Amino acid sequence: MESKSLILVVEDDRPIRNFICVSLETEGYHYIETHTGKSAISLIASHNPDVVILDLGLPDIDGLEVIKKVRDWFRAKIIVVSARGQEREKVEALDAGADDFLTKPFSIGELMARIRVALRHVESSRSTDGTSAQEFKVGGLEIDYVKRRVYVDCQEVHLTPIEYNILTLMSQNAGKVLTHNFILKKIWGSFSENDTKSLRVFMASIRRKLEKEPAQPRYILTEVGVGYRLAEE
Amino acid sequence: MKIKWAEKVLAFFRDFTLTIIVMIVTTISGALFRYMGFTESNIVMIYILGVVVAARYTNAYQWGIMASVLGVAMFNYFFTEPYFTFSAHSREYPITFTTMLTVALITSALTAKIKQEAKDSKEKERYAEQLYKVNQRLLMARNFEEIKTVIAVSLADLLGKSVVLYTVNIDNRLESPLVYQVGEQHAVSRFINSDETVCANYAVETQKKVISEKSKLCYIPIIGKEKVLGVAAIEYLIIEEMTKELKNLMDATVVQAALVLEREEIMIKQKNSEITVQSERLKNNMLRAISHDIRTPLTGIVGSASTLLNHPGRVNAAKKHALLTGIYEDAMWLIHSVENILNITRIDDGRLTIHKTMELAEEIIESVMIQINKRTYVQTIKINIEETMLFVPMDANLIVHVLYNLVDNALKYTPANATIMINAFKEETNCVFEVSDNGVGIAEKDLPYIFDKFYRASLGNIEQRSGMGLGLAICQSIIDVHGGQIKAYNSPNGGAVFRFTLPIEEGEVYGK
Repeated sequence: MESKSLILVVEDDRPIRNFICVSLETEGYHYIETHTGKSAISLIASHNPDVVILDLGLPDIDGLEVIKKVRDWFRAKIIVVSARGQEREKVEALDAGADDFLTKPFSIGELMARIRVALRHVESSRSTDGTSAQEFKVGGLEIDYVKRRVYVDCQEVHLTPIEYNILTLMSQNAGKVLTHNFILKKIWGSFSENDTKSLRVFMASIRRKLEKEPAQPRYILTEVGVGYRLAEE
Repeated sequence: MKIKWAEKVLAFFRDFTLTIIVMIVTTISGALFRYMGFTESNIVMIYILGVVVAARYTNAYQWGIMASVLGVAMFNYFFTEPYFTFSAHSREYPITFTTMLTVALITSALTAKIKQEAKDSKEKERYAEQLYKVNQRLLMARNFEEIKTVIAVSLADLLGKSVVLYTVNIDNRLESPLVYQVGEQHAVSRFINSDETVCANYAVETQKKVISEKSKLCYIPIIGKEKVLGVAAIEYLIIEEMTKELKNLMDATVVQAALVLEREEIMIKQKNSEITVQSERLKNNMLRAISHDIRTPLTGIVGSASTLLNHPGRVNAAKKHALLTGIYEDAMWLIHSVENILNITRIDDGRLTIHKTMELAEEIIESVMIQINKRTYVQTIKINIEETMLFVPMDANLIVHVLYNLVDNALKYTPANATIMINAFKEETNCVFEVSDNGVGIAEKDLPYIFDKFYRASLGNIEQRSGMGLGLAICQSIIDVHGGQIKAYNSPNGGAVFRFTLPIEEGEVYGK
């Protein structure tokens, strides 16, 4: 990689900011850091980072505000960091345009995995530029977008049209958490609170077709109270 | 009003007829006496008897007077010479007439008075009985709502009028009123609107009766020892028109109401302060336990970190790794404990509001396993979910927490070769989650206390630091607010079983 990726760390707690920055450095990333939401917005505008790691609880303005302010013109990835028990804020942040989230306390391994996912998405959106991929592959799961076929360990799996659409949507956003509302909106166009139940039924059915052990899934991961994520590694 | 007037006319005719009949019967008896040759004085006596009878059985004292006058007149007409005229020859007659009239008048007045007194005492007895009944019902009322209902119904029964009852809460604010209508039913908005609230508040502030022109409600403040406890609003109540007894009775009922409301308020205050004291005590216990338990890992962390900082060159790689692992594990333990403490304070505060959504059992178990798999363990974990689409209403994060605690416990208390089973299945209207193992089971002496706060099982892997004894207490609290049940027992095949149920039917118990 010629140009190193630039990562903006927005976190008001100094020790956490420190260890994130140190780990980023050892992994060979460039980084800039700040502890306020307002300066984060100006840094995003001036430096155009590839990934933003954003704490939701900031001293001046809410992290959610930052997302809403920059999302219209800022194309890069935003990873939200929140404390446990803030599920609603998490969903709000994701619906407002955040790409991923991490729950405190998190390990460095998790953080790095999320950054890798985010950067890969940044690159693929730059390189492909509209021409969509023909297939998707992770572990034993294969999706052929042209023939609309799905294979697990080279065995074809038969999905209903809606199941296929959901899986395609997830594969196009692999590694990213998709909220219930997001999936409902994309697949059915509209949604009400009650529809999440039918979404779960579809997910459970897809899972049953793809996974060897549905309670310890390999591909489709549940984020309780938030949504689903398709494994990318 | 019309009915009352008709009643009056009817009573008048009844009394009139009765008086006439009595006097006619008396005259016929007099004639009979004369025929049998009795003296005149006996006839006088029979007339006086007639007057007494008439006074006794008619409803107003005028009838006694009329009977007296009529008696004298009839005696004069029928029984004195010359017969069948109102004139009398003998000089004794004026004296006889006067005496007869006086005696008749006095007797009838006395009779009427006795009757009135009897009537009064009967009424008083009725009132006393009513008051007693009200009293009894108020004492029987078990909660605030019941007391309110009893007061409103009692006043309505007593006065035969619609009642709107306001109560003042602990913050001295009027609560939304209770409307009890008698007779013609009106829309509640007639009695409860902003104008009426102004009247009610005015009655509370001034501690005086207020009459609303619009709804014709008369607002009577219910005054306690220290403050106004409520307002009873009674429709069409005109105090000036009430009988003294009825007014007394109404006042007595209001006083009773004040007493009971006051008692209830004191009880609520007492209960609240008791709860505060209890939770205060619990908090202190918890703080003591926590500060002790937290100090240990913190000492470890500080010690390891300072060793690494102060002797950077002298610690070899293996030792460095051991020290860092120690720091990491202690910190993880602290994180988990803090999570438990946070949850239990939320539950004990009564602030824990659970947000129930329909969740799939397998997704919940999956999330637990993601957390469990982040750590290292040597035992085998098996998962068995009976039904494919087991939807259960729950607060997902809390139930994940419960299951995590149970599995964590199982890992803590079983040997390396043990197998831990996680089962989920439907049983009648409940979803059952079970975490069982084939370890040594729970010691009999621990079983009854296992869900108590700060209780720790007497047996555990000595290598590992045990928890604060909060985990299972939290599990119980969480399952309680969900309306489910949790229990622990030893399986007949050996090993411990922790089992909890969650109702599948919605709407039973909601977050308190």
